[in-house]
Amino acid sequence: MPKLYDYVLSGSCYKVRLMTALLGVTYETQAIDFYPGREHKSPAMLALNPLGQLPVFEDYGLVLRDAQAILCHLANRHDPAGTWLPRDQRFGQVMMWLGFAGGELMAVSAARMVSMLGYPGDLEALRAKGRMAMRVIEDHLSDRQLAGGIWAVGDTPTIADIALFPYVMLSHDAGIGHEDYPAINLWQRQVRRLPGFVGMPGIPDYF
Amino acid sequence: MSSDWTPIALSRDVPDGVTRAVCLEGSELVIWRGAGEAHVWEDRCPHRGMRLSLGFVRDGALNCLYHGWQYGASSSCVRIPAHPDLTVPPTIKANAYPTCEAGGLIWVGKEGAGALPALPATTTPVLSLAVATDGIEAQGLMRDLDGGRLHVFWHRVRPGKVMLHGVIEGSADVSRVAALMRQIRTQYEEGVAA
Repeated sequence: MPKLYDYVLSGSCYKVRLMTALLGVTYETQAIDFYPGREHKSPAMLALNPLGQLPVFEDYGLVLRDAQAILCHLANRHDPAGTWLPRDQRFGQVMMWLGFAGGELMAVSAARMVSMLGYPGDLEALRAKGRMAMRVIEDHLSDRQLAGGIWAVGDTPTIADIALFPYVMLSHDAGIGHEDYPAINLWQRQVRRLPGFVGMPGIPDYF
Repeated sequence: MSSDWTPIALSRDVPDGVTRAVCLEGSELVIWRGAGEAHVWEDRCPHRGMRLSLGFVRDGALNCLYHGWQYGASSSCVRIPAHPDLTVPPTIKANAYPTCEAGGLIWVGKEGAGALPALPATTTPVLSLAVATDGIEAQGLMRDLDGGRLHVFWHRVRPGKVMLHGVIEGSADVSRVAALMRQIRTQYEEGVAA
């Protein structure tokens, strides 16, 4: 059975929990004491992921790190129809948003760690970067909505939406509200309506 | 233009069953729509202060996410799930503001507000867009387009930030007008707007 090394408050672990729920993949979890125990930096966890980060996902004898890579793996192995990771011209766009979700948007995560867990860091600078990332998403989604769409790429939800969703929603924890983002507001409701959707602390699973 | 009324969102961006958080002059508001009608309230549940914009609309009523207190269109609390047999006293009310819709926009009014300003009868919504600036020169700024006209309304979020609301009178390519609005945003944020 697949296994997720998990921290319940982690938006990156939540990407994996959400995708497995949407795909109906059953798996076991091992709770890691990320805070305050720093168990992700323990020798046992560093042996699984030398980067000392969560999530780590074991499946088919593979030990995978990086939430975006795990989303690709899940879609590749557990979605034979290929709707969550389309192989046509949408593929490159999906990859582009995955890179953004693991890159620029992680400023929201960093701001949240400072704000919620008291991690060291320049909160205002991180919030400013987070807002710039949120604006990029808002501009993209508002163009999609003007064109009659709703999802980040194409006419159906993809792992691009699942990669973007957690830290967009958890921005509240970092002190970044959604007042500036009407298109994000409409998109996030559709994500929460997906069959099999699960929430996490800070992301209600009903509407 | 009358200052009794302030545009705070595009009607299109608050479809039925949706809540939307808006900040106006530093005050937190919630817009929600049930049974076709838009409402603008203080974004605060009178029970425990939870933001009502995080709640959900069901059966034409707004439900607080925290304890499920349910508020009807009149803003009175109609149901407290922890006390299902209680007839809720009418004094338990959310704080509602005068609200109307015109020109493709949702407007919030002062108490006893007069008539709305004259607006184009038919409009096509473009975007609401946050801009880091203290204000723009005129409510209802206009830009002529091929075949139509862009009207840019706005409200002040707080000092240093406004939200623009663009609607088209006549016909125009909406995606190109969206790009024009983002150019206007850039001009204001770089301090080069005419």
